[in-house]
Amino acid sequence: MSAGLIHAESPAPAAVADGRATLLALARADARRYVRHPLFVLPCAVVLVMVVASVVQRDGGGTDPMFGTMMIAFFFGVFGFLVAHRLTNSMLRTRELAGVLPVGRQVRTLSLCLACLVSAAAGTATVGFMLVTAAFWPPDGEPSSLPVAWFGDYPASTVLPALIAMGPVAALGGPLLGVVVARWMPFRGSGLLGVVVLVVATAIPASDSRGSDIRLASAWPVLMDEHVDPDTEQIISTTFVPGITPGWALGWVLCLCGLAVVAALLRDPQHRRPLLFAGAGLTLAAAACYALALA
Amino acid sequence: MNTTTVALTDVGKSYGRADALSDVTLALRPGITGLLGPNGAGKTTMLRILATALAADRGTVEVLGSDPGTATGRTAVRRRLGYVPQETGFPRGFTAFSFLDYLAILKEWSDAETRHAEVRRVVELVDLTDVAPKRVSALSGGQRRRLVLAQAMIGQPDLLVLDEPTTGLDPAQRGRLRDVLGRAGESATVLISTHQTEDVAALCERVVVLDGGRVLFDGAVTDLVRQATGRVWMADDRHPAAQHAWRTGTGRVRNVGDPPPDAELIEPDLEDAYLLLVGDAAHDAGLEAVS
Ligand SMILES: Nc1ncnc2c1ncn2[C@@H]1O[C@H](COP(=O)(O)OP(=O)(O)O)[C@@H](O)[C@H]1O
Ligand SMILES: [Mg+2]
Repeated sequence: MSAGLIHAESPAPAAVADGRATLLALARADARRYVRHPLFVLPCAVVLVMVVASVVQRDGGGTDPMFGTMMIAFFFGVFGFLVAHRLTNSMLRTRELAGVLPVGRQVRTLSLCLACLVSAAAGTATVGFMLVTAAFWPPDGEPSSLPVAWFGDYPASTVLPALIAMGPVAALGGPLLGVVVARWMPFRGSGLLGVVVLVVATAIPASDSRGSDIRLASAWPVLMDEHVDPDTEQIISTTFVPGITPGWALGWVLCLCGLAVVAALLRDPQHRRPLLFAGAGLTLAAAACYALALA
Repeated sequence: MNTTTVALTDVGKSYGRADALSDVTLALRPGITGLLGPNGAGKTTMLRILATALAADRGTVEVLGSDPGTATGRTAVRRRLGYVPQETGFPRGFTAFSFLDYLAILKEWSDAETRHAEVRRVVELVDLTDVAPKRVSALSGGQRRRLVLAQAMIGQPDLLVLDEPTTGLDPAQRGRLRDVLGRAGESATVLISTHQTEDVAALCERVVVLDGGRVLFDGAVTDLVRQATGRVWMADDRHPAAQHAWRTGTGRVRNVGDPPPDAELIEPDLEDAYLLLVGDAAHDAGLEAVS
């Protein structure tokens, strides 16, 4: 111990608080916590191994888009739900302390929502990897009357929104829902309960025996169908679900993400009016995107 | 400095039908005030009200010129407050340093460089430098207690509310803590609840004794000690009139209460005075109940 340090003044008085700077500093810290969370680190490793393996196994073919996006949604979306839920609830045990700090719970909620962008970034990187490998090593595409596996006949304006909606946005939406559930159901078991509900609610409408309107009304709308060669049981092509415009479907899931943020923030009484307005606007936009996607 | 920084007027708080605090009126100034009282006296309730963790049911509370009953008042108080709760858990996954760093952000230290310097300062202050890179879950009870203290010292707050901060600390750490708090008390208002009368005697100029949610004593430590003058004596055995008596290291018995005429009186200390105050209050309450 050095006496000098004890005598030392604080390096700076808590300067006049700048709300935006505080939020950014907090979001950075929360993002670091997200990145280091075992339920994020582990899925990252698994996804890395799987995408590389899938490229290698397909004899120079790119990652299968259906498989790739499902992997993102599961490992970053579903696991992300748990990560965000745990990070949000982590202060429960410390609430006697955390409750009397100048930065209130609503700002902390917003910061956690921003930290969920870590998951979205991981999803984006995976989709990027899929696009790059598909461009460099196009799948060999068995002769078929259907478009080849990597959407050979579809324009980028269709392929990209579909991949983004099913990949990065799913990776963002899962953790955002985790924040919502943790804020509104602040007890430990709510995380696992939420995951079960999330997976079931996603799987039911996803079946390809259903109409496109039901398939779109899911937390993870499946916008593509795979076609398997009955003899070799190999995937020979991927097509888009007829009757859904991927661009508008992307808008729909983005609006759902926005609504999740609003729902999480509404747990606290501050800024209630603007939040309700934002919620109403997002609901309208979501409905419009849904309708346009099916038009 | 004689300005009042904290003022409670007729403050009450009830849990169901039980009054945890009733009609507490108290004014604090910069300096260190000790808060003594038996278990369940209402110390934690009072400290939580001052720390904006709990709202009073009755009466008015003014802390550092703000009203903690309003949202803006609460935020204003929290910007200048350091609080050590009686008990707290810790979030998982943090090291001692990163935990303090995270709380410093929540105290609006957004600039990373000054924040890190401040965290290093409070880590040094409570002598945790060696274990700062360790996980909180790997720290001992006393180290965690000091970690909670360290966060309270971030930003040199104007009001320190400390609920039994010395529990779990060894004598050397307590000595160091007294040094740190003594310095803080030169400019800040420090209210510290404890069961250790030696801490109060060593640190505080002023002491408040709570019992049953009421203020039994509020004044200079020396005045409280003086009340016990002539009521502490040494004898070879426990005296039947003594409220409290215990055999000391010398083999003789220290008696506290109303002495017999020939008693060998000795100088009282704060503990004697405190025991007599609380004992007399219980006695009076018993008489009241009978009549
Ligand atoms: N959350 C609570 N619910 C019900 N009663 C409580 C609660 N907190 C404290 N009390 C009661 O209020 C009284 C004062 O408690 P407290 O302020 O913790 O005393 P102290 O800190 O002096 O030991 C006690 O009788 C206690 O049982
Ligand atoms: Mg207590």
